[in-house]
Amino acid sequence: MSTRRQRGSVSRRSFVASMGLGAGYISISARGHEAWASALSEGRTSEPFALPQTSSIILSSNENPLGPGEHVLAAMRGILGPDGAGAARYMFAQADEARAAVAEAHGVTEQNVRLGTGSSEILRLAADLFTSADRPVVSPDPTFESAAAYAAFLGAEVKRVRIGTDFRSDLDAMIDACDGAGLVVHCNPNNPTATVHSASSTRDFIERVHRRSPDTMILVDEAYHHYVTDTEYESAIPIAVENPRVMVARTFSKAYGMAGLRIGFAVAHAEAIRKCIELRGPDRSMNVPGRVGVVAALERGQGPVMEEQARNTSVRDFTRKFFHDAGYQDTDSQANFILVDIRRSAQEFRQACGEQGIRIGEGSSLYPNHARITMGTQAEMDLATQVFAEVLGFG
Amino acid sequence: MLVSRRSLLSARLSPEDRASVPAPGDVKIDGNENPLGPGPTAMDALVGMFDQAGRYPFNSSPSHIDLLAALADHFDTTPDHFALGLGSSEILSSAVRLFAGPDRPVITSGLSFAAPITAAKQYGYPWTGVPLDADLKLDLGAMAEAARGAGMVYVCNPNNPTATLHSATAIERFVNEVHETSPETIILIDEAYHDYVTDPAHRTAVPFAIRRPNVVVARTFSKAYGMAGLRLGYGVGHVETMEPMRKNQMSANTNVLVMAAAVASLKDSEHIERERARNTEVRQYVTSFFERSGFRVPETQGNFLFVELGQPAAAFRAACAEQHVFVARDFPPMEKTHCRISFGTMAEMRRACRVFADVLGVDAPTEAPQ
Repeated sequence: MSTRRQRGSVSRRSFVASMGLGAGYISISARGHEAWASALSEGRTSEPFALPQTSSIILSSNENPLGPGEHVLAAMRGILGPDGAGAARYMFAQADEARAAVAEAHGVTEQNVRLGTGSSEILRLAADLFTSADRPVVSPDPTFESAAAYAAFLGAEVKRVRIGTDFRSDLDAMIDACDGAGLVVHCNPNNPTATVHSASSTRDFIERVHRRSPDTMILVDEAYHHYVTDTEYESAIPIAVENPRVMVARTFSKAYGMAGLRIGFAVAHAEAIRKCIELRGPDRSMNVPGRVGVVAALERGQGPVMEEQARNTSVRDFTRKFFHDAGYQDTDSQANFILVDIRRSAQEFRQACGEQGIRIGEGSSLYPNHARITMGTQAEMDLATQVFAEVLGFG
Repeated sequence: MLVSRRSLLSARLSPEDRASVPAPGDVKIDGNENPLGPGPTAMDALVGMFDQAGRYPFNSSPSHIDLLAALADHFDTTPDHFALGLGSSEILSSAVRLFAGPDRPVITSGLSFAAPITAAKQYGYPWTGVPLDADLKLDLGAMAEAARGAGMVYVCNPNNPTATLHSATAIERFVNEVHETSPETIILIDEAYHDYVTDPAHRTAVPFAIRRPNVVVARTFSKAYGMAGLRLGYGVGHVETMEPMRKNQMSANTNVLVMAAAVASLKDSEHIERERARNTEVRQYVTSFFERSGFRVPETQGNFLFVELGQPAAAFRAACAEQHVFVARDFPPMEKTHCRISFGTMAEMRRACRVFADVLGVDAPTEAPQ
């Protein structure tokens, strides 16, 4: 790739300009990707305002490129009020409303739910409460690191269990590591491998962990739940409300498109939630617009997230086919990102794409030749795949 | 009698939990909130972020890095002196966790913002509340004495709920004394109400905190900046002191709306000056109403006052609530005599003072109603 760069055949600006989209792309993107995508689909190629030249297509953080939708934004506007005075109120009652809405939408009671500032707060809370110097955390490797990293910061041992050769968490090896563990992390689908375990294999895993180590808390991180299309998969929420040693973490950052509002939640047995509140206080860290945004999002029922799932599946199919057609293999993605073996340094690929205005993920140092690519809008992926082809040298 | 939705909610929630949007006609002066919000510049920036609501704070523009840079600019220093928090509460509880311990107690005042005590209880650390002095000010001499061997000593300046202030000189003397007698103790100075202070003897301890490894200042956007519902505060201190705080906190976990509002408002110092002037005018009005009516009010430097009613706050609060004026919860050990009242707008406080006069059986303020 460095050779290609030295040849100077492609530079960020020249590439975008060559597509006839340059000015429009650069100017619109800073207004947000929704606006940009709609401008693209309407064939508009320029906008009457000048914006930073550094804008990129962001395919690096597994965000929903469309954002939360107008009904959520309208609720946020409503609570802030015409002059913004609503921003100045603590409004703890709205946290209760959000918690009640989450409980109702998931068929559990309010006593089964604790909200958090993103699921990160939930993962950290689990690390905080269930691990200690003599109660290690067992975590797949690679996985989303929040729980293990915070446990390590607090002085707990982290037992990392290498992902299997099929890019799925090696549940057998994790069971072998779980004796006396305070916490076991089961990220399902797993980030960054994008793979999922079936409902029966998760159920079996939980049973076997508790047979070996009855006091171990199992944290099932279902951040990407809504993007799973594998019919063998099911949420572990029904298990969590029954079993005081299972906690499910969810987030509004992915399919609900609210990453910037920082709202996630835990679903668990009422006893586990009560323990969280006793030891770390009630769930009050979330911002008010986010709280009312959650209520508005859930009021719409499953429709919008199912639409988002369908949109993502279509873009995912397109992007995977693009790589397959070019002879590259990827994992069986059940998320809004893919992990593809590009058969060369993923880091260099990432850098080369970045220079072309396409920001892709960091992947994992364990898979130096695998690139993690978040699914943007179809319009974004049309552009991005052209850059990928160019960078990989088959364009 | 019909049971209204309000009374049902009130029955279910403690007074503090009642915190909500005031219903039309209600005067909500129980949470030291800014009645006006963040102001137009900040609101424009906030609403401008709606397009980026789907982006994480590290991908948005401004990002948390931009916010740290804006804070650094504001205090003419570098970003590594700061840790962001979900309100200053997260800074306080994080500091307790990191700097106190089972053998390193938390020292606070007998009547102060409770977050450090709440945190100490949660982590199972010992704590001591040093009684206020006769003027309802923090007893800094006794606190310095108590701080020997402590993990952290908490100085809320101005103090909530008493609204009393210690001068820059007094704070500096205190810091020096603690540093001498207990060099390992972290002094956490909470300046949540800094922007409302008018006493010329006050100066922020931020420059001090930046230089000295044993001082951390907590600040918030919840008060004069009008963003309580948006959850943003920060700690500022020596680079080495702030490093573990940044690690212990969810560094990029502030929402994208408040980051933009904060960056914009840090550049709009005129707005904060106007807010301070507005609050000062209201403060003078409410203070003089109580003093004229024969009630003692300590020297007040916040957006609230702590008045000696000479009767239980609970009865006063309930009577005011019947007339849709909502004052703060009990503040033990002074709940039998004192009540905390936050400042709403001048129009709200004119109405509130008429209600106070009615409830207390004193002459109503004479100004024409607005």
